[in-house]
Amino acid sequence: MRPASESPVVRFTQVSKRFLLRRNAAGSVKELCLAALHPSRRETHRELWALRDVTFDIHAGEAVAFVGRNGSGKSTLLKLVAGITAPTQGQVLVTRDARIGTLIELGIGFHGELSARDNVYLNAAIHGLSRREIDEVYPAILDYSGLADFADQPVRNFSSGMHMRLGFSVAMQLRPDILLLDEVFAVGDAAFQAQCLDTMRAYRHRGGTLLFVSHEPESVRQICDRVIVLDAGAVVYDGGVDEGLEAYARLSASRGIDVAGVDEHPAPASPPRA
Amino acid sequence: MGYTLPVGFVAALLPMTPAVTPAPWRACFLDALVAAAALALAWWLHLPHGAPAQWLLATPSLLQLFPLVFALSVLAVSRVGGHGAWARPVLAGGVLSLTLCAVLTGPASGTPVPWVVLCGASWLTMLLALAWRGSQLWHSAVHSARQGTLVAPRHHTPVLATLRRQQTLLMLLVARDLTLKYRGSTLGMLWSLANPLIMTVTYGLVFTYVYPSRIEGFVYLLLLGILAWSFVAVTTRMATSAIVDSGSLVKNVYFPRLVLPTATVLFNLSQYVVALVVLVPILSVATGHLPSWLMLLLPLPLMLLVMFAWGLSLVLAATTARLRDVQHLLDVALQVLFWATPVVYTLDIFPPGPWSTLALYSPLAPFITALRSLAFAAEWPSAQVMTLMVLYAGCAVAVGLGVFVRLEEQFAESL
Repeated sequence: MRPASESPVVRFTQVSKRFLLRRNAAGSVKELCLAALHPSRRETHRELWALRDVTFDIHAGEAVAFVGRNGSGKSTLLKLVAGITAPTQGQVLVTRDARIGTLIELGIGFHGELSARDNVYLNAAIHGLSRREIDEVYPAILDYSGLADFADQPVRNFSSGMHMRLGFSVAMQLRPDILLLDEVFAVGDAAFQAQCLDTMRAYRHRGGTLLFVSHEPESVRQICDRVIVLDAGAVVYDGGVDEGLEAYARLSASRGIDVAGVDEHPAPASPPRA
Repeated sequence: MGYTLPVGFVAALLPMTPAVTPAPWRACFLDALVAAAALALAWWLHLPHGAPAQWLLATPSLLQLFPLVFALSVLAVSRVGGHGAWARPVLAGGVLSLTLCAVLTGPASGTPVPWVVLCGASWLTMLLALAWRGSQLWHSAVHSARQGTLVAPRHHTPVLATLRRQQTLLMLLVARDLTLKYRGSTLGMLWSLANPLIMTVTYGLVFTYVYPSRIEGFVYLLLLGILAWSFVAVTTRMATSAIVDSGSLVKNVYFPRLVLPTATVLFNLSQYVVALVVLVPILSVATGHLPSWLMLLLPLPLMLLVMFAWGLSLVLAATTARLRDVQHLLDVALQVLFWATPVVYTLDIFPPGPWSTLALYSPLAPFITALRSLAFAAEWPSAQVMTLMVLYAGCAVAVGLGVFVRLEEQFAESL
């Protein structure tokens, strides 16, 4: 794997993100008007800090795994990098014009009535490619997904596995500079997972930066060279992979949650979960 | 005629101000301000919208005076402007001299200056400068990026640059909507003619047999109104769901959200243009209102109408993401607006008075009136109509972009 270079590509400076859990939220003009008349209908909200004071730099070529229990703010963090949401406090910076591949959910934006071809074009355009660039990568996408025979079929006829293949192929063939992956290996059969892991390694070899959210220590060990452990929105560990996974295991154990697969001597080639 | 002299001088001097300001975009903004001010002035002075060509012929001394004044004007403008490009001084000089000639010879010939001549200077400079700057930005948008610096992931780029970069996505979204709409139908795009045709035939029958209209060729007038009306009505209604319907995309991928409502407008524009191109010649021939060269100016009110619809769509798309019943309110508003808009009538059915003023100020009235005077009556729209069009379109875009940019950040969380 290539050594990480010195210039940061993602920088978080004291980033906090607050969500308002609204009660009586006015979701329509009607409710807004009623709320103006009735004090009891006014909106009240509870604050939820999904991220608290998070600071880190990620350098080009690094592969960072974000681990933490459900609700610890991992997905929020990815969405901040992607620009889907904005931080409440602090500053999120990303290299200007870095192409960010987001794979937060697979098969997002596929329209059932359109053919696989049309869907690939649309999806690639959403990720910012021009028509000429898409024309160039389209054969590779089709090839990688192994769905060449179904290119003109409407996607609604696809199985969920085919959906996933197509989505992953698009995201991987767009040649992103920064790739955001959220738990995408958790689904799919063994062969697909093996293919994903190979692709990840090739991507890293090209010098791509990876931000990876996972609960699975095995894939983290195989792909990443740095682990950031989040707990209740705060960074509790930032460093090497093995220590990071141990820290996460301790954290989970102290809260009485069993984390499958994290033990002192993990089997080096345990089969991926089917 | 006493007003022509000062007005002419003001109108002639104002287009030169941008030449002195350095920042290119400020210059364009000034140009636009000046053009709007000139229009408002022409309206206020009740200048007629008579044919400029006839007016030019009616004042023969103008033609003799023109070369001299033109040369002097170009010289003056290039001295004041002091920049290298030759096009701007020549252009500004040309229109300046035209205005000066108009002012000098107007009172002598006894025919009042048409507003088109008075405002021509500022309008031409504005449009050309905008087009020039716009095309430059359009071409430079792709290459302007500086590599390696850190920025916020969704830093604001100028709107035009955003749309330029998202060209492919815009086109693919429009293509998707067209494919989905006409999937499996053999007639394809021709279906987009069905709706306006049926409306025109229905209303045409009503106003031929039930309430016969005094106007000859009323069906043509009706069609122009109905096409414009349904463009705006359908666009705004579709725009309310532009963001909401793409909820899963908005929540999981970042791309400039502006693309979604813009694609809705473009999709409807494509249908509108097809309907115009097919139906207008047919009705123009059928009713005997053959097109004059003024038809070439149709893109101007059309462009303003598209800007107006775009601005509205931005507001509606953004607010519906938060307040879901905006759609129902819009339906009610459109019902009222249909009758408040001169679609099945023309503005001159009102006797002069508060009602006619009110009817003219209705949001879509100036657009439809302008389209009708260019295509049907073959005459220049009045300065009043032009002013209102520019005002409405400009305000809609400004408010629309303002609201959209402000609410954009919350889309992913409020959906």
